[in-house]
Amino acid sequence: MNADVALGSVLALIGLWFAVYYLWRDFRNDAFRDDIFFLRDRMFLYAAQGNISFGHPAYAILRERMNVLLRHGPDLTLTRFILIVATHKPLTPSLSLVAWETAVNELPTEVQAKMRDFSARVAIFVFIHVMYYSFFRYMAIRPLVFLIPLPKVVESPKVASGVERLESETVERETRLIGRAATA
Amino acid sequence: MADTPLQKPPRTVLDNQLSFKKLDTVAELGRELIKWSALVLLGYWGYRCVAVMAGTITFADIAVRILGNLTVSKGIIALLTGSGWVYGLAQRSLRRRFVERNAKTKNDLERVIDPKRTSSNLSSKGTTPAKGKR
Repeated sequence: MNADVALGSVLALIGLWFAVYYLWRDFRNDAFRDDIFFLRDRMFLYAAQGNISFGHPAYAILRERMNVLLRHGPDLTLTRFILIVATHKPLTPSLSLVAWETAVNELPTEVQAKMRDFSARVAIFVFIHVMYYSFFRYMAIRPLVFLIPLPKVVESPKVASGVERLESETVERETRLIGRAATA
Repeated sequence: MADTPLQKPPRTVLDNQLSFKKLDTVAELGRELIKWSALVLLGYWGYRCVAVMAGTITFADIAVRILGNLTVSKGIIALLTGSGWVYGLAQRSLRRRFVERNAKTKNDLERVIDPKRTSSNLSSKGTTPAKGKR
């Protein structure tokens, strides 16, 4: 191969490296945030229609959970997902999850169903984000999604539990960071 | 009588968090190592290409040779790739300007209905705030 052709290829590869490591991840973060903002807006409108009070813990906790996920989108990676599934054996559900479940159980049945639907959709978006965050994984998985839709995968108890633990760990890490900052 | 073996205490939530933190740091280091070593390797290859031509030709010659080898079909491919980049970056900039312009109004209106409305604390353009401003 001529040296000038090789140099052209190296420059193209550097461009590809930048696209894969920076532009793609930026785009996936923006896409994830757009999905969560969409859900948060839908939930706000649902509450504004008088179905649930803005001050109700079921609304407040889920909204705060969405806010934390919006801030920590770049931290939701497949490596962390696998590590959490491996290291966080389901001892007890997280405190925020227990508080949310208790609050939801107080609501009328149809509102309960709607709030659980919002929560399930958050889990689906988190899982999609985790899967598509790497460009190469996206290229490998995307064609398969036509055969096995990702929302169906999240319905599997093992995956759902993993996503739930990843979300909870993210929320609790933020709480720990805030606590540490307050004591410093 | 033989001593009863010491029973391993059950793992606590803190143990889990510590294991996670250790493994996560190692994984993060691995990821960064792969990322930057790929760039170093590309830099090395680039250097080798230039080194082969060093002394025999100037930078102007390199540019002329690269452009000289450019056929119409390669030129179209390069133009297509480049225009894709420009289009993508321009669209991103446009979207961020749109978010910056509209999000504030929406948030202010929502605050009229829900004065205790909580925020994601992202930047006004919807991007991750700089560390320390979270």
